[in-house]
Amino acid sequence: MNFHGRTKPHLRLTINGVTREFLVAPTTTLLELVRSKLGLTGAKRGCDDGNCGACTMLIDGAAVKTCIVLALQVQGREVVTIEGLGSPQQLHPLQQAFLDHFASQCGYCTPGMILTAKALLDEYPNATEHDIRDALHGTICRCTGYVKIVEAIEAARDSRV
Amino acid sequence: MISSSPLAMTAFDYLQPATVQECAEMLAHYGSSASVLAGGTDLVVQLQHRAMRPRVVIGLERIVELRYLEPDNDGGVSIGAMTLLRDVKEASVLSNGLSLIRQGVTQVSCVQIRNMATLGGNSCNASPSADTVPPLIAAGATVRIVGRKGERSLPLEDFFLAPGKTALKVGELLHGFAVPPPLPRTAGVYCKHAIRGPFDLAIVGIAAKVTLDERDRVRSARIVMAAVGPTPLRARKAEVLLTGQVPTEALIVEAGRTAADEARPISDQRASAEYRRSMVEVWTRSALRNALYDARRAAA
Amino acid sequence: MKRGSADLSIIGTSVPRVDAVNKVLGRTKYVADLQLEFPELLHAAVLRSPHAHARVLTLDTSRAERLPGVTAVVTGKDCPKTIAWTTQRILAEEEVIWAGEGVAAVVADTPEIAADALELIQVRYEKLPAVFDAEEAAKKEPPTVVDRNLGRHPGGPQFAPEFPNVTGSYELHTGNLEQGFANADVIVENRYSTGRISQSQLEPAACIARCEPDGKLTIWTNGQGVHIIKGMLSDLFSLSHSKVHVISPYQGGSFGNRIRYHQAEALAALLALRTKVTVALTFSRREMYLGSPGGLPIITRVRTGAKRDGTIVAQDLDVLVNNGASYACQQDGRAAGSGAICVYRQPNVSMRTRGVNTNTPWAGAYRGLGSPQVTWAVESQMDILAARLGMSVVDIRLKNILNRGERNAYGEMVESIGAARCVEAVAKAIRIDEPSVHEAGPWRRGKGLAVGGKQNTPRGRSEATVLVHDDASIEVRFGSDEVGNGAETVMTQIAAEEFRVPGQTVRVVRGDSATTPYDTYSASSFTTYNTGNAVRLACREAIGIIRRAAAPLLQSGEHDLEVADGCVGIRGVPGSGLQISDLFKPFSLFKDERLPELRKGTPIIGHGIFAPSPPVAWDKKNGQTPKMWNWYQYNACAVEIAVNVETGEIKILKAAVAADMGFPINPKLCEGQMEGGLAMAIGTSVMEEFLYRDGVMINPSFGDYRIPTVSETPTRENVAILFAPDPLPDGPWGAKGIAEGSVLAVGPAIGNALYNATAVRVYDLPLSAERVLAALKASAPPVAA
Repeated sequence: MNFHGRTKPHLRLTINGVTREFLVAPTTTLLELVRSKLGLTGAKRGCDDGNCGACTMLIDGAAVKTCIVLALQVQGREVVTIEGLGSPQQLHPLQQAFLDHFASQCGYCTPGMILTAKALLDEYPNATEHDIRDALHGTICRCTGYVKIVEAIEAARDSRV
Repeated sequence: MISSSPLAMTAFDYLQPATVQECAEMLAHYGSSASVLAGGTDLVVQLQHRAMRPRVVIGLERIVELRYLEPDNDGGVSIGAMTLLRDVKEASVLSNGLSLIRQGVTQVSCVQIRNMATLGGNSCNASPSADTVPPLIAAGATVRIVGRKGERSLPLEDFFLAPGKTALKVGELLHGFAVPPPLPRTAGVYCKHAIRGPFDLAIVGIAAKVTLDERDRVRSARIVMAAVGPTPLRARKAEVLLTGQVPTEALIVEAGRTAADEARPISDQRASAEYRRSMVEVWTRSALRNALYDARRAAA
Repeated sequence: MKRGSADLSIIGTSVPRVDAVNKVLGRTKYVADLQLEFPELLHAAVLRSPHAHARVLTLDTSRAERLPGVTAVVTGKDCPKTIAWTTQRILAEEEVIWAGEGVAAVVADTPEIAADALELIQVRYEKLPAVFDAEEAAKKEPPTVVDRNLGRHPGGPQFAPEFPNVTGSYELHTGNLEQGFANADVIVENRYSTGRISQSQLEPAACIARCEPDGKLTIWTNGQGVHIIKGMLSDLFSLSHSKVHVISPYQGGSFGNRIRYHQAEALAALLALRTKVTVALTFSRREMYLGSPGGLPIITRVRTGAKRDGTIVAQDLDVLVNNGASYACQQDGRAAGSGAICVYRQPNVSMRTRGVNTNTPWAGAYRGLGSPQVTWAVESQMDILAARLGMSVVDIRLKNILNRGERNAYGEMVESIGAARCVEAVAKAIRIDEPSVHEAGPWRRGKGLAVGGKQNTPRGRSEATVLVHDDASIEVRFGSDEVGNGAETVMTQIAAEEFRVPGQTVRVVRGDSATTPYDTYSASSFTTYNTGNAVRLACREAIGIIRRAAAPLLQSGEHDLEVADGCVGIRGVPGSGLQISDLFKPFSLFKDERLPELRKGTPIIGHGIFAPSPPVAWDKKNGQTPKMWNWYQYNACAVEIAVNVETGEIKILKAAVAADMGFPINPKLCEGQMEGGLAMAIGTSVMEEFLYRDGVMINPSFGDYRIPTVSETPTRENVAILFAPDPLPDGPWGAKGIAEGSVLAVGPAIGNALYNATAVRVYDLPLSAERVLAALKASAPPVAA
């Protein structure tokens, strides 16, 4: 399907389990689509070039930096944002662990961190500290020094046993 | 609409061809006013900074023909341009003499980038510091290029003309890579020098591939350097130095020095030219030592 | 109920952060997240100078103004003149003085149109000579004058007019320096420097400014100090305080960056007032480096004399602070210099501090306010002396660290100093006396330690309001910041402790200039101390009202009553309590009762004001004063590192950090500050620096300005966090602050470990791989021919 002229192509995406349809300008990133059109502001922008990871969401279960993904690129795929995890009454084990282990200070990197960790533990339920450090390598935190983030992820890993 | 960024792309149309043929038609039609989108991890950044202002972006995500990673009849491996780096990283067919290709891919950035970035995109972006490229060149890879009028292939080391510029002509598309079967007693290593490991762009990248003969002499060697020239560079003099010789530590040290002389680094925000040159020497030695160690232990 | 520390119910306990649930759910709103609430929102973008110093010859905005979708274009001539105590400008006018300074701003329907408009603005510059080196700039005849407006404001700060780029200076002279050096058995003199750094907090600067039809200005911002910003905007735009409303939602880190005065809020406000609509201004990451205040490069020249037994007998220091193009908060370098005064006994010391302008992006408050940079120098000296004297690195420090009750070189009485126990704790944790185990290959291991102190500025006053609602729930209102520091949690704990209730009974309302009482900002680690003390006072006033209301009902004197668990009762008489909620009588439409005083629907309000005792002006001749600063926090760090002698890379294998924070109100929050500070300081010590070409920063991105990822920090089991608190008499339960301490000693600990590993000393931070390799090569013995 090709679109000529300044039309807004049609996009269908499943976001947090709900399939939605949009008309998007091609220049729209997945990050801005989710924030603007759905008001899901958990994913953040922290940098200019896909470095910090605060924009991380899961696409078909894989962690992806969405500030550098055009929304139209991921036509038909399944996206999970932090809002798709847990609720105030029932936090996801990773969210509970971040809470219990003080792994969040300013909170800006927290959604990206949690989703990156979720993708890791979903694929490697027995991830070691080394695996966790590898998985988090591209998601930056400036407040915590990472110690309690790793601790929280290990606790979440252990709580699933 | 909300915006968390003052960075804003210029407008473009987005096309999603379903086949290679359809894509080739589009490329011929739009010429230089089109940009090709593979994983987007380089292009979308360039679009946001307005370094690229295409009228049209052609997204390759629908072209399943470009996603393949399979052994060839001759024992080599063919890898499609749209193969994700994370899939190359896990490919068990790239083992033994071809495992250096996985080493290169593993040291690209981080898991989120590897989940979107593609092997073809990394080459077509033609950054001199690309990590996937030196191992492929060292392994002797060729690229398969398709256009409206047919196909051609080219050694990968001839694919890069200048930073950001490849040998693709208007209307052509990179289809994939063909990696020849490695000779027996071949091993390769990719060493990336960067302060923050994979996260950083390479200050220097060294791929070293060696093949030993039955008497443990170097039958052939390839040393390919990233980030020390406008394109990936072969350290041919260092290779010649090693060929036919018993690889002693002294010879390895000399090969390192020779490779450093062959490098053409510049100074930029990541490192000075002088430091890069020193690192070529250090990491060529290290890569050779490790490759030779693996080659000696490799099954005949 | 006794009030000894053993009977604390919630203070000293690691209660979960009160804002954590929303943060892990991703529900917390930061400024840019609020944009959806303004359908009429327009977007701003800023055009920035590509030159470090240039005259603006022509500036033509007409094509930009004509672009459809553009509402306004403003330039320097549209900006109000700056206020007296700073020379910072909102936008440049005839001259740009750093690469990145704003010259024009546009407001447009979309960010795309705003970016298009910037490209249509035509500027012609004439490049002028520039000065980047602080020592060159500080000369009597520097290569150029950076800020021509410096010193021309009435009531402006101290400055030295014959040095046109020097923004201010301070001198301290104690004892007899000459005599001191004459008595020294060993003298060591060196020059140390640190690089330009950036806080690089994750959330970029963002504002939404709205001008109401009646001219009132409302601004949502992640800048710090809603009342400070309100005051600044009122002055700048000649609006009365009641016409300016500043709200700060949750802030994504700061580390000092958000104390930024003009660059974001003032510009957003200007654009909103001009266009009469709602304008969003958000910085890119690049703009955070070029246009928001980073951390100061400091050159410290120091000459230290010691006796054979390790006693420091003389120290002569020159501290030169590079403010960038326009100073923000360190015009005279005094705060930085305090790092050299607050730890050790110095009978004979001479210290000169100066601030200087250069044509680089302006610098301001960065975690530690210059103390870490000066500690880099002082603590390197201590290790050099120890080596010369054959003393242990621990003993030489313990010998000289001040004790409580002594006076430091300023003349201040030392009230609280846990530095010695911090040193002992980290030395033990890292086993400093056991040499590192060496391994084959290019990595050499070594250990090092250091200690430092950070002043606290006695600034203004903090107020707090505490409301007790008719259901006995408690609401605390305060005006400082939640940048991740945990202020909301600490204030919750304080109120919960005062009222003796569970934390869940307390709610916090913060950061709104219309509804939360006056406070400054969360800086200088003083929120627990200033705001915390104000909250305590407010709680006590509210408790007093409860006791007064209950006394007649309990037939008791009010001072015999106490409050706990939502009840008020007679002390020592169990079962005598009344429910606080029962004290609130129902509202009656028909009766007019003056008593009792408490009614449903009208909360009890307690108000507290806390102001630290102000500094005492220092003697102009010798710089001495019994009160220069308020209290000091202390921190020690010991590390084991590995250095690659072929590449110059440094890896931090193990780290121990010990803090004297007075008293840990919430131990886990304290640990978080210490772990975070360690990582941040690893970055600034080993891999972070601004790199320039012709004064233009060439690495303004997270890709090239290297802040640590998890991989650059030690693994979990290799980080030891230790507490060595020494209570502060007027801190809440003895608490001081902790936020800045943990960046103080990391750099010198690493530098000392580098020396321990390689016998090579580097005097300049960061200890980048290139710098370390060059130093190793320079000191290597020549290879035999």
